[in-house]
Amino acid sequence: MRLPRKALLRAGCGLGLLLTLAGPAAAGGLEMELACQTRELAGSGRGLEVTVRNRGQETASSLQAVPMYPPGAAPSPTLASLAGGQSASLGLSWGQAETRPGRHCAVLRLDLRDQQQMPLSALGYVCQELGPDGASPLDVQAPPVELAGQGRLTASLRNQGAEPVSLTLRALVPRELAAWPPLRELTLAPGQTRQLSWRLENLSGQVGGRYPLLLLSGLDLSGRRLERVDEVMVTLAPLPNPFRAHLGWWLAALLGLAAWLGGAQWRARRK
Amino acid sequence: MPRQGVYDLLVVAGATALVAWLLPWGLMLSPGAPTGGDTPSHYAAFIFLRQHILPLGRPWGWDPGSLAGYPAFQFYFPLPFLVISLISLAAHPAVAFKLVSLLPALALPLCVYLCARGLGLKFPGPALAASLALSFLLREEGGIWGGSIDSALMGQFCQSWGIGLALLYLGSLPRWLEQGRGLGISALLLWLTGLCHPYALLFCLAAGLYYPLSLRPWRLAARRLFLLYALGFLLWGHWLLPMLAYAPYTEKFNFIWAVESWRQFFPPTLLPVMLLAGLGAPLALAGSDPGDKGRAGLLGFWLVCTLLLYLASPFMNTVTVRFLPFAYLALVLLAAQALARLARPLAAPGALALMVLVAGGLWPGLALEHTSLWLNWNNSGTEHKPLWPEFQELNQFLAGDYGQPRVVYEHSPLHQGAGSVRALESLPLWSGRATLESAYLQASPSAPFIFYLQSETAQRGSMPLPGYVFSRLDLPRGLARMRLFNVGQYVAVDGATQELADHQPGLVLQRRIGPYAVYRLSENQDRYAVTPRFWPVLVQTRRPQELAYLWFRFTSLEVPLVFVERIGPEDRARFPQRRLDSGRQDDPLLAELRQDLLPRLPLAAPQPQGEEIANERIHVRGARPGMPLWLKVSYHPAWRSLGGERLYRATPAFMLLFPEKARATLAFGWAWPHRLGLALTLLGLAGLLAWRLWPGLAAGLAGTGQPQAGRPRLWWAAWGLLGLGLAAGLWTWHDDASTLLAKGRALAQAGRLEQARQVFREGLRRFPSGLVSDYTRFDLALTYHQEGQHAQAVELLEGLRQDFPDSILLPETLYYLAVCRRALGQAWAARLPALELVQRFGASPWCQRALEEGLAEGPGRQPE
Repeated sequence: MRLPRKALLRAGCGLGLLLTLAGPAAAGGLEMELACQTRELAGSGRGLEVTVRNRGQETASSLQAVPMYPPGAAPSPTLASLAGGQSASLGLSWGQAETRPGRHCAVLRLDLRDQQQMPLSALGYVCQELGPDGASPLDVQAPPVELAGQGRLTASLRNQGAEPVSLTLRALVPRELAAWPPLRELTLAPGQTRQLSWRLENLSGQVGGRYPLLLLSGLDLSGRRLERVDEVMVTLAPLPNPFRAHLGWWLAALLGLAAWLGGAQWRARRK
Repeated sequence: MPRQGVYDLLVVAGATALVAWLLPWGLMLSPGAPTGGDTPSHYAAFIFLRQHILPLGRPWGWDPGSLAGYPAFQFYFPLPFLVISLISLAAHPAVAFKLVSLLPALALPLCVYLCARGLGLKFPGPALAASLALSFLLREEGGIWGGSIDSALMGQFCQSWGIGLALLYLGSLPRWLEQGRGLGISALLLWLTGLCHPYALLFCLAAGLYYPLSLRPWRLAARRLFLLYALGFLLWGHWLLPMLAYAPYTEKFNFIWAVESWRQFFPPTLLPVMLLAGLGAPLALAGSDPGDKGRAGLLGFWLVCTLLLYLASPFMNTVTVRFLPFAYLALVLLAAQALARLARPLAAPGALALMVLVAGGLWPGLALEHTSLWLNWNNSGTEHKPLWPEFQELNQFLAGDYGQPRVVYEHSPLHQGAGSVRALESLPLWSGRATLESAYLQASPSAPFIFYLQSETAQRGSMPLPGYVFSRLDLPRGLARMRLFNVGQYVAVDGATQELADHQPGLVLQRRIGPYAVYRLSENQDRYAVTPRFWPVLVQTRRPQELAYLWFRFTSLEVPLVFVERIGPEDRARFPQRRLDSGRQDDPLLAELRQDLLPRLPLAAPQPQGEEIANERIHVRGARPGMPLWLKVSYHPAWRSLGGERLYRATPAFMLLFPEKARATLAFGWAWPHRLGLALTLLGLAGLLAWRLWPGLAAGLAGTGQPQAGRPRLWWAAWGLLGLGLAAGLWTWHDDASTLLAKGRALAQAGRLEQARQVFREGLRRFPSGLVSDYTRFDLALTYHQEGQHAQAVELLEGLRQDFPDSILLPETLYYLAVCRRALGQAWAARLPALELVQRFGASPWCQRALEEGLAEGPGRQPE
């Protein structure tokens, strides 16, 4: 079995036609930054341009952008390699352009390999407004997660609007991680807040790596489709050594037994 | 329960609970397919056993899914797999597998405790041994050596089972050999140990010899030991006899594990145990307690046995380091005895036992770095691995059955993303299609050819068999060998390989699935039964595999060789071309093979109309009677033709027959070794029954009385000297091609070139065609080059180029040939290898170097 090598992935997010979204910061041995931009294709097609920048020192290989949401799009062509400090663009077609007014988001995953041919990935996304501006009534708060093996991601959702909303909530993760359940459906009354949690698992992420996990919520309100993406930064920590984690108890047990032994010996001598 | 019993129970239960505390029970009880290390191959083998073999009413069968077909569980160890099958009746197969593979870790403290008790260690010794065994179990160093949790996760759980059972057996020995009681349990344990792992069994057999050496009268102890071994072997007959009878159709796996420093033999987690054992053993031997003295002698004998087995490994076709766990366990028992001795004057020895439990768990536990990670990785399941979606899609794309042509894939570390480097060895499980590679590479005579093919189709092959030289990446040549093995599809994963495959005539890209690219072989016959293009050549020989390997490496593969031990009149009538192999290295047949000069007599017969491939049946329709039919399935004597035709062993390790009718049917099944082996087992069971029913017979055979310890020191000194002499002799010869190469390189680096040359030459003399023969010859040539003796270097490099044209070292060889020839003033002669280097290996760094040094001129930089 091969142990993961230390490396960090920096995954960013993108720039929509009308929206600019700041990307999360990360650093490490292999550092990928993604900027995504929608583009109109010939006919009624919709495309996405992903600018990938390798800020790390080592060369990444076999880079390919794989659409995650909405489903149905084809992956981009594969870029053979991208040396440290260089940028490249990957274009992919995303099927028919959205016509419903509102705010639409697309999420993609960049698959790549490090110098040891280990598969790595990073997420990127882009949102696009169609029609009059309109923000989602949802407020999503999710603190960053330090994940050692398995853990939980918690998020707080609040409906800030005046109408009840039914929404779907997707947890989109890089391939190194797993989140369960991947899809939730729920209804929030006006002003209602709900705490939700997901079970997170590190499948093959390298210790020290930082990955953005994306929570994509979507709802229909007054004839408009409103989607939003919230990032949760997941930092991968080493699995805790169970002995070191409970060292106090172990030492206490040892001391207790030593005291018992010493006491018994002392009593025997006195006798 | 007496108070001591309570402490024993507390300590053993505590040690077991501590191991259980470390295990990821949630993942272990989940249905994800286990993975990591060799595990995917074992899991696939278990599923095959459960679904296809056990319903036949026997624990062995033919698995056509890998290695061009091989006899499953005839050369691997069935007991743990049978236990998994049994548990899988009530649990999910994956859960059953995970539980059984980690069961030895949970059971080890109890096994060590029972062993120590059986050896007569008094309270709290056995409990202390159970606690100290945690240092052995939790060590992260030397996982490949066996016995630890890490070892089980690497896929060596059968060895862990063997070690646990061996401890129980070794603990049961004194009762039988010294008191004449408990033969049945000892024989059963010996049998079960043999069904788990032969290393454990070999150690058990060797360790038992201590008793006739140490007891008086020795004849009584020897008689009982013989009786036990005889009964154990009878019981083991059903597995042992077929294994021995079919051993010529297996492969050797006898390499010396590279140990970089002697410090590796002293894992830090075991240092306290070693220290205690090192202090306690001399004290016990010099002391007055006969029990301690006897045990110290016995455990010292275990250490000697380990040493001798380690040194004798290359001659027994075993792997050296796999015997080391028994030395560590001997040290654990010695340390426990030393601590028990210290505990004697204590008022509360039970408290000491509990303290040692806590300390014995804490010390190795604090050093744990990756075990938890590995436990999670293996048990979370293949379905939770990052490449699972693509892996699943690949298997769905390839889905089919064993009747379809085989699938070959590129060996690559990338497969780790699907759980293990060996993930695609489980293609038969996930896709239903047959592939070639398998972890059970010793079980098939096709293995060397398959791994040679692997080295031709991968950026870097795994080269697992020490007796063979392998190739560099060479897709055009690999294509011919793939067709020979009826490979219909090739899966490439490395970007550079895919680029080559994209432009390779004969390969048609079918689909890219994530990192996998699937290619179809456009000119494959897609048949397992074919009529060869030319008449086969019959060869009378005693070295079929060596000749077959030359045939595979050097010929066009169109003229099959057929091997027999003696050519009979019937053979003369069938084969117009025949050869008698003298067995010498200058036999003309070898040159004929190297130069691909086999006679090509066209065989004007049509191909068979069709075939049906089942697990243990092959039906061929429309064969031409009297004409040779080449079956691309591994040869094994347990195959037979239902029409009565003789099955020949043909190259590479396939079967060939002359059907008498248009329809030929071959079946695999019971043969005389299986029947005789089973009869021996039944005889052994009957013997055990008779032993129980007729005590008089038992007393007559086993003798009465109790042999006593007490040999004079001179006796032990004599045996000690003999052992030392044996060890010294083995040490002298304890080398393989790789260790000799490493020694030679060390000498060369130290500037002792003449001595290095001697070592290299010894390596070439003893292992002329081994895994590193090309490296050895190359390094030998470089020693001459370093000294400016360019003529000798050229001679060696030319020989290397001729004998190993497939070597990965060929670009370097050409470069140095050019360098040496230029140094000799042969400017024109220097240009030829340089030109070849530029033309064939333009992308190689050696080509670049040659260009920079003016050995060759551009354009170069063409891919090979």
